[in-house]
Formats: sequence, structure tokens, C-alpha cells
Amino acid sequence: MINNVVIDTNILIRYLHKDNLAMHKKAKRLFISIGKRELVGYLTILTIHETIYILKNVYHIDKKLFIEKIKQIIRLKNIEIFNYPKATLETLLEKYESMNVDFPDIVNMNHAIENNMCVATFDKDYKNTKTKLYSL
Amino acid sequence: MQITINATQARKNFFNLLEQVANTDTTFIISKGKRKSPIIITRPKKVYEHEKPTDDLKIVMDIAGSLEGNSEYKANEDEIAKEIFIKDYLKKHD
Repeated sequence: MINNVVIDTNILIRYLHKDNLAMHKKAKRLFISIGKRELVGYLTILTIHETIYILKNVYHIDKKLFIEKIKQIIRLKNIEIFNYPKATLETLLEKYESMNVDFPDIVNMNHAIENNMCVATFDKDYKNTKTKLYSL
Repeated sequence: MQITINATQARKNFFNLLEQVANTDTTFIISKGKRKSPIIITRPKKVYEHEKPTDDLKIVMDIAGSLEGNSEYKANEDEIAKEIFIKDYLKKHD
């Protein structure tokens, strides 16, 4: 039996959001297996981004309502994040929650600051942050 | 962050490398000649996990459906997201 599962965005959303009962039950069953440590669930940072984007922009849910839930999910022992330290992801989620900037921009800013780099962008959102910008 | 360096660079900067691994999320991938598998130096995962499986299970049960009632299910949520993304992108970069 395969004990490692990559979790897609729609599973994560249906698990958090009980808007489709049949799908919610299936997604919840999967997370119960993860909670019981019978299964290891793998998430990518892209899945996290997509989940945030859909919950915020399609379902218009306040980010304060779902960021804490996502943080709780990534702290589960049997949840793994592909190629990303959980501590860094949690910091990024906290920054996203407190700043009025999109999640991918938070990721870029964080990488730039941590590596003493600047960001090359046309995006106006960066101007209100401490990120060093590349002069284009 | 992942940084790939060769063994000579790693040896010359060994103490700096250790310091960086210990204090940041940096992972060093050290390559040496024709060796097929690189050597990876990384900090052990921060211990986040809850002590007992029952703690995890309780959290899983608590979070399940916790966003219920905020909005109705949209079967085409992917498509809606794409449309919104395009509009946002154009607005942001106009």
C-alpha cells in the first residue's frame, strides 16, 4: 500500500471548506489518516499558493480565517513540504497575513532579503515594502 | 535556499558554511569530481510536530470544515481563479 500522497489544491480546499459535503468527507478521511500517522501527505509551495489564491479571490474568505488553519496543517507531523523548510513557510504565511501583498511577492521578497539581493519587477506593490529594488 | 558548491570551495569556507547552515535555512550541496551523488549539508528539521498522534488527530478534526458557511461551492473555481488572475495581473502591471 502506498503511504505517501501528494495533496492537490482542491483536496486542501474541500477539507477546510465544507461547501461540497461528498468531497469534504473524502478529503477529511484522507486528513484523518494523516492525523493518525497512517499516511504522509506532501504539499508543494505551489499548492499552498493556489489554495490561498482560491480561498481569498474566488471564495472571498478573509485571510485571517484561513492562514492559521494552513499553519496548523503544515505543523502536522505527517505533512511534508517539498523542498521547503516548514519554518520558512510558516514565516512567509505570517508575513502574508500581516502585509497587504500577494503571497508570491512575499516569497520573492523573502528570498531577496535572505540572500541580500534585490528584486527586478514592474509590480507597484513592492514599492511599499522594505525590499531593495533593481533599477530598471 | 540551496547553494551548490564544489568540495574545494566547501573546504576553504568550511566554518562559514557551518555557521550559515546552523543559523539559516540554507542547504549546501557539495559536488566532488565525478561522484554521482552530491553531499548535502543541512540543518535538521525544526521539531514542530506535536508529541502524540492524538494531538494531530484532534487538530485534523478541529480544522475540518472550519471555513464552512463562508461561501458556496463553485465547481469551476479553477476557471474563476484564472480569470481573476488575468484581470489582477493586468491591473497590477498596467
